[in-house]
Amino acid sequence: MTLSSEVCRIFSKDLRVLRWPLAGWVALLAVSVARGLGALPTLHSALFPVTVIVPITAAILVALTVQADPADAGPTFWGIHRQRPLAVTLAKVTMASLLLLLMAVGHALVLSTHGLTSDQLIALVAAAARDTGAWFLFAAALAACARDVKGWLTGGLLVGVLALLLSFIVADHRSVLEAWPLTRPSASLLLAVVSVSVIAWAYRAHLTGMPASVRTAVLFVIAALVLVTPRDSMARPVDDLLVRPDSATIIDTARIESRIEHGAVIVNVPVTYPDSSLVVAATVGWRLQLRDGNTIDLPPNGSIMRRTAAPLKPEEYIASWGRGRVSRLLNFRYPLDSAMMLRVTSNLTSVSMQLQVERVAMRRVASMPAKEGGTLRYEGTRFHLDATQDHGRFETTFSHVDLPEVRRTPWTVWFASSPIFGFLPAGGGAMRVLKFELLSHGGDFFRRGGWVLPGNEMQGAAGMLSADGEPLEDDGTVVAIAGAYAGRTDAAIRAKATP
Amino acid sequence: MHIVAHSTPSFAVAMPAAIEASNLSFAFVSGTAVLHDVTATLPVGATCALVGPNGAGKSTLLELFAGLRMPHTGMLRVHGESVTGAPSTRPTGVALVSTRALPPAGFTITALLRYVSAWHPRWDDAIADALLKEFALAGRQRIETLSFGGGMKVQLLCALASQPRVLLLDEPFIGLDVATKDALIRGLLSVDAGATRTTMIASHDLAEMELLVDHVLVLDSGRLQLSGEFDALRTLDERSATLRDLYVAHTDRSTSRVEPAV
Repeated sequence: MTLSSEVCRIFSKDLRVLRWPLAGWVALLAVSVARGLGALPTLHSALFPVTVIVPITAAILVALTVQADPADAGPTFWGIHRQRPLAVTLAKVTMASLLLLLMAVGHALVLSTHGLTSDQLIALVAAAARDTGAWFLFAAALAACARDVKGWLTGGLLVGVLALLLSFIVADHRSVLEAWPLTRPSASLLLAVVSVSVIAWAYRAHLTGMPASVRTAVLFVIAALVLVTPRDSMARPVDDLLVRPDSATIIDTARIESRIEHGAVIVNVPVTYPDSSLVVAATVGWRLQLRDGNTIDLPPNGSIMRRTAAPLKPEEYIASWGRGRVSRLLNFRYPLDSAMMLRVTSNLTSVSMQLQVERVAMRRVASMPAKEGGTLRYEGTRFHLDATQDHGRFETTFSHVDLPEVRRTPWTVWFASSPIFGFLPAGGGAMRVLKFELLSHGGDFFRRGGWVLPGNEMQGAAGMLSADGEPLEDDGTVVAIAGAYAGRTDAAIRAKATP
Repeated sequence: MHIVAHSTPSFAVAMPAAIEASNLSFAFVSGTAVLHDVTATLPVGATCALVGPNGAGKSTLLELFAGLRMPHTGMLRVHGESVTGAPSTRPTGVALVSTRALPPAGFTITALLRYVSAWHPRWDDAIADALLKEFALAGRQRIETLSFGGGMKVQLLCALASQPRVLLLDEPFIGLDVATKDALIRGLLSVDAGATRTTMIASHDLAEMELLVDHVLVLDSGRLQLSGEFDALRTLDERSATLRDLYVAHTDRSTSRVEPAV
């Protein structure tokens, strides 16, 4: 019998053995996809467990498939009947691939209703399938090293705890780890390759059996490898996933203090990558109702307010499989001009605010390790940034900041990096990232911040820079712009400027 | 009293050997030693009883013979083919029936036989059909609905229909009622391709085995205590008229601990 026919027979046997669990899982997936396609009510809480269960049960099914022909030493049905270890391995990988394919098809079906191009669709589904597939194979590898399902669950828990402990231990050395030339795609690929190797090894070594310490050590290394792998941006930029404005639902919850704040529930936003952020752009207009019966209408001023949510939570990403969407509550805040407040607050009875969503996008989040060094020269109207120290793989990315170009456009700061995690949204084609420090005449630290500016849409100021983009404080403080480039967000360089 | 010192080959091998084991040792990865210097030769066509107390290493020895475990030391040949434990050296024409390798659920018996037959080039559908009748099994019955004895029958059916040169049975009678045991024995006796099949049965059902075997191996604590032709061994010692007598005489267990023959 040829290897391929042997694989087919074992695979069809697994389908037969697991037909009822598989049928149940397919039904779950169908419900999840139907919900994503809008065929079912989108009650967030009612069906949330379904979408979470789909990938988890898929991983369990993969483990059960492996356990149907245990790799453990001793008399096994497949061993007695002289099935080749390689054939058994390939049959198990085929089953994992089938489940992944079904999930990817469902995911693609849902995403295809969002007006994506075929290139976008393929890229999104491939990336999601790549990451999820790696974890499926990891689950299969764990099952191949476990004696039974109970052992699989115990082993998974043990590996998870050990890997988590390791991630805490290495947390202080994250900068070193981030210097590894290991990107997220390659980490997933590496996990998949190592997992398949472990499965093949387990089946081949079933004659001798594997010490528990070896099993644990191998899986621990795999899990640790993935957990300490730096989150990196993509190998190539991918455009923002644009959503039709009418696909988002806005629920007003206006209130007034020293600012107008609107809570907007953005629903059914397609999910792209696990490290994405929800980005919403909206125009704002409001009407102030005064006590004397007059109204002040402030129509949408043409400026676009942007707001980003925090990066996707893991459970949100897991839940998005099949459904392919998330919902978020975002607060749109707009500070009232103090003069206006003085004029109207005593006479104000109500404020109504209108939000017009212009753009909803899922934007990639990438790590942004700060790199010390570099020089900033100010010549005439230009700042020039030159990296002079070793910045690893980012060295060639930076060139200069052409402020006059920026200055022509009003500025808006719409996002700042998280001081804790250092994540900044990236991707989206032409993206500019500015990290800066404001220094006094004497060189003392004054203020530090960071901006991400999407594409060429340089928008108005936000207090730190004047409206025309002149980066000077009243007393002539020197502003050091550090790190700016068009393209992906990979890193920034902090430098001092000499006027 | 040992009639034959352990580790000493006892069979006067006039005919070709089906199984040749020399100084065979095995230990689990945990370090627990199971078999020590087992040396034995079994001629082609022999039907051998492998007896010994629980934990003596009977199942492990059968798994070594089937190529399902890798010996630590020693030499093993099955029909002249060296068996090192590597997948490429797994012996051909060897079938093992074990309570620890029950067939997968989800199949009817007929579908399972069709599935299994692909891996056995000498598979004979006529034998399978005959044994289905002999064992009173319905082809459309699902595996998961079979009793334990039914599962053992299906395993034995698969093993016999594949026409193995060496048939290894690990506790084939355990948990079976009298009628089922008789059916199994009839099945064993009915399919024997010209007395060229070598059979080894590990069991505590000494009375049943006595009807079938012509050779005996006694294992205790992983060491071979006795081996030889059954009739020759019986004539050497008048107190050893039965398989049970041989068992008791050549193991360190007291009679009270010997599991009673059925």
